[in-house]
Amino acid sequence: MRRGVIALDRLVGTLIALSLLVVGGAAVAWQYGELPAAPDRITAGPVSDPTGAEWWPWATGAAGVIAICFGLWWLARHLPRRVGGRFALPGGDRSGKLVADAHSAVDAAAKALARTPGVRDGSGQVVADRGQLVAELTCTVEPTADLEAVHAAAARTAADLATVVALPKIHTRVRLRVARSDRTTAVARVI
Amino acid sequence: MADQNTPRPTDSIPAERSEAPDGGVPVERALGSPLLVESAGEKSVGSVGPGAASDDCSSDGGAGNELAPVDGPVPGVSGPSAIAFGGDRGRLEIAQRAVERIVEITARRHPAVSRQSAVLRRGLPKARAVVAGQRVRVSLETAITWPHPLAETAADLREAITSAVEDLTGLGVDRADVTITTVDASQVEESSGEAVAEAVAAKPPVAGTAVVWFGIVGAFALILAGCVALREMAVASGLMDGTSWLSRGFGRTAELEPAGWMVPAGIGAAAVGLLLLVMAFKRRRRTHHAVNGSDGLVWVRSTDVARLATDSARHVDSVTDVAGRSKRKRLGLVVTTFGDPVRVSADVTAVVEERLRTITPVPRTRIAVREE
Repeated sequence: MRRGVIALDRLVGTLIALSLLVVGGAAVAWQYGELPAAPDRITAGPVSDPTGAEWWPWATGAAGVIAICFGLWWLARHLPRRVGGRFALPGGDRSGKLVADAHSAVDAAAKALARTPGVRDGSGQVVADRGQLVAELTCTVEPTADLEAVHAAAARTAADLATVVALPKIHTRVRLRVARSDRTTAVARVI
Repeated sequence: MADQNTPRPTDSIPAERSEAPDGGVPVERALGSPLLVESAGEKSVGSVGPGAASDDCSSDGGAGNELAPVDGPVPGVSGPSAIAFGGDRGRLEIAQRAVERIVEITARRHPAVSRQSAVLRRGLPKARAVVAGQRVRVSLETAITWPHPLAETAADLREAITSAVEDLTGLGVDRADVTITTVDASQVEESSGEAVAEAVAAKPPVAGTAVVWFGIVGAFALILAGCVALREMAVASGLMDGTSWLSRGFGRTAELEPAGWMVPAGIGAAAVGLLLLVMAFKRRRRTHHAVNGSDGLVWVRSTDVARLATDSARHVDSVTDVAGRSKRKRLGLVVTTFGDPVRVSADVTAVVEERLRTITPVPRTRIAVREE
């Protein structure tokens, strides 16, 4: 999701909220006579029926198409933002461009981290999060895993990833998920 | 780069210049320089120069082929290709596939390149070459092993394949594109521990914004309104039977005056408005706890914190069962034991505190002991 659409949502939400506050407050104040300038009765209409006018089908058709298009666009902007993993590497010039898939590099980093004792599995991808390009590694650890050792391995892997990818704008985040059950070799209770 | 001194074909054999079927331009080059030859669908290697095609070449499709230049024009020559005319000595053709094989074999020999089988996925390294005259454009897709730097490896590969193509074929390489599509961690090499770059931690993970519901509901409302408008259009233009829904609203007179229902309705509307206003500007809630929080690099969910604590509590003596539940910054453990509840409670508290020592913020832990 992009920041622009969040700002739009916030704007719409604020307008609706303020409208409800004003209308609700005005209704209560009107009932108790706290609006001296308000009339005793508000009358609206009647409005002539335009549905038989020649322009009516055109107007409703155009408005309908615009509303549906804008609604679909608005909805689509709420979908999770996909980051294209391919990026140009420095050194590309007229003699040839150098391209790499960052998703694959991040996933490889997670797989490398998964070789740490206590880490069961790992996967990774590049995501866009609040204006940052984030290499996100998600690893499943055993419930008995040594968190300090895992943290140290994650820090090493993150440094390796920064060296491998060498993108100045990329940030790193490691999410750990703890497995429900321990799959490490159980110690025999009876010898 | 390209062999600038390549002799032009003699006037005695121009008739042997054949246009390649799919756009390749015949090219002449001097005999005696390293060549790859393909004729009538069969590849053969003419190896005359240093670094000539190796065993890999022959084992990868050229096995059993003759190592001699083609003697004279060859009927049914496949293309596109670079063709060398050697006067009376014959004609040599450098096929596009031969160039591609040179690139692939050269890439395979690079220590950072990982060979991917084509059985379950796309075979890598995979090269494509476009031969036009004496110039060639190559592109290579490859996989490399972790943790080789992408940029350095790609530049190194580009240089290697450019040199190989130029040395072995004499063709000039106009462009060599290298795409690293896969980083293979199945054969992880030990990191040297000398990472040049330093990892920059991302922002802490947070929950989604509540305000997006405005957008989602608003988008659906707009689509619904648009459908109603299109229906009005269809009814008004005779495309659909029925009556206009909107015409019922026109022609009516609406009157409003202060009434008793306005007080609860107004209070309700104001309350909803206030709630929406709070939602619109509410900060996104943090969903994770930091592990060794000094660098903000490693995060763990509240649920997982509960799992860590539960697992630790299970190993306390006299404990038969533990149920844990975590909600944001609070952690609740229900411990079932047949031992002394006071001792068990103290032991569980100590174990859980030790287990969550590296977690920031430390959740407030509440332990309930049930006797079996």
